[in-house]
Amino acid sequence: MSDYLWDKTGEADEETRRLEELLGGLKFQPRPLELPAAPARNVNTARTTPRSLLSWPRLAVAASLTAALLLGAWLMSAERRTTESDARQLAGTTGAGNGEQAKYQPTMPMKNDAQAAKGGGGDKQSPSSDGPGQLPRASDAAVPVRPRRARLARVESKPRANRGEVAKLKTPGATPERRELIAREFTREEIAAAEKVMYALRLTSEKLSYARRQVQDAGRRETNR
Amino acid sequence: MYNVEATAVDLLQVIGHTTHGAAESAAAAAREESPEAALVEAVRRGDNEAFGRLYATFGRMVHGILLARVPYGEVDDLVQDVFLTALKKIDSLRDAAAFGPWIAMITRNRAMDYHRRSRETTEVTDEVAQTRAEQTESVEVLNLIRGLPEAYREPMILRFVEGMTGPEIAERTGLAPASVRVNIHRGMKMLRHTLGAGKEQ
Repeated sequence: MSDYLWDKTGEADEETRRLEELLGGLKFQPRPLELPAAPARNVNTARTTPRSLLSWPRLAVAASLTAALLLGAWLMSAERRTTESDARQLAGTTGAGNGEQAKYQPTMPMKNDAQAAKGGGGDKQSPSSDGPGQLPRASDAAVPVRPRRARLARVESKPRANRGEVAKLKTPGATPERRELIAREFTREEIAAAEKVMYALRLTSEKLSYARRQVQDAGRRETNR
Repeated sequence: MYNVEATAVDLLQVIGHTTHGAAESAAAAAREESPEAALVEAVRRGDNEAFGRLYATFGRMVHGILLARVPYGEVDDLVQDVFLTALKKIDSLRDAAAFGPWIAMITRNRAMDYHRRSRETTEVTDEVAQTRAEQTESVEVLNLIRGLPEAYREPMILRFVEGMTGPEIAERTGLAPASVRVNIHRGMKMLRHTLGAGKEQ
């Protein structure tokens, strides 16, 4: 069935013909299209570097992630340095013998200095006198504080200890297996001496802090008067 | 494109050896081989001549869609705008064979944008005034068509102003052929009624 209105086949009625002629005068008259100079180049550029990838929020997120990664790496390396320093310090202390410690002069007068000098301070910390595994008394903890530079120079001259084993030594809940591993590297006496020295150092540190607080309080009291 | 698709699907259905999936794949194959897709790919490679051919093919449709929505004097400039926008955005067109429906959508959006931006007062230039004087009757009938419901306006203008056939309108705009056919017939019926009422007055 022909349908002129649909596909222009068959007979057309008069009104349809008239409308076609009348409205045909308004039809599209193509004008030359004014194209930009190099449209394809723009299109390709847009395809290879999408603008959305360069947006500020994305850049900010990328910068934050990079900063977090760098910070994490720095923290890990700092932790490693601390462990290494502890290991060196511990290895130096255990291998030094107590006689050497007595050679250094304390930089700050201590409450227990007189006792330490009287009793030969370092001798009381020797494993032979207290036995392995025994903690020293508080009065035995008057370990002379050496200048940092001299201490570091001494540490450098000593052979390196096994870093991993010494780190495990510091772990409070060390399992028997770990202790056995440590024992392969150090003798029981050396380990006990190291523990004693660490304990003495901690005590000394606390005492120094206490003394500093006392001095500060005294200074404040003087100021108030 | 439409004819090729329809022929392929009809042929397969008549033979009776086809399933729905096979018909779809035949239609997809027909779409891939469409000349519009080849032209779009050429434009993407920087071929301006190919874009000129797309302009020649789809210019009437864009003109007709705009004529159904914006004042007659503004249409030519807007046609240029639409094609330049299409050229800029052609990389975002996923299905190269769907260039017609895609540019039709750009055209409708541009017409809406025109109404959003245009002010109430319109300066009437001498040229526009002269055009209106020469084509008074044509513009009057055009205004009558623009007074029809929105669904009828576009196919009626494409049919009577641009001289496109129904199947051609459906193919270029991406509308269903049955819808276009119904809208043209109903629009014509309403226009006749309006014209008859005008004559009686």
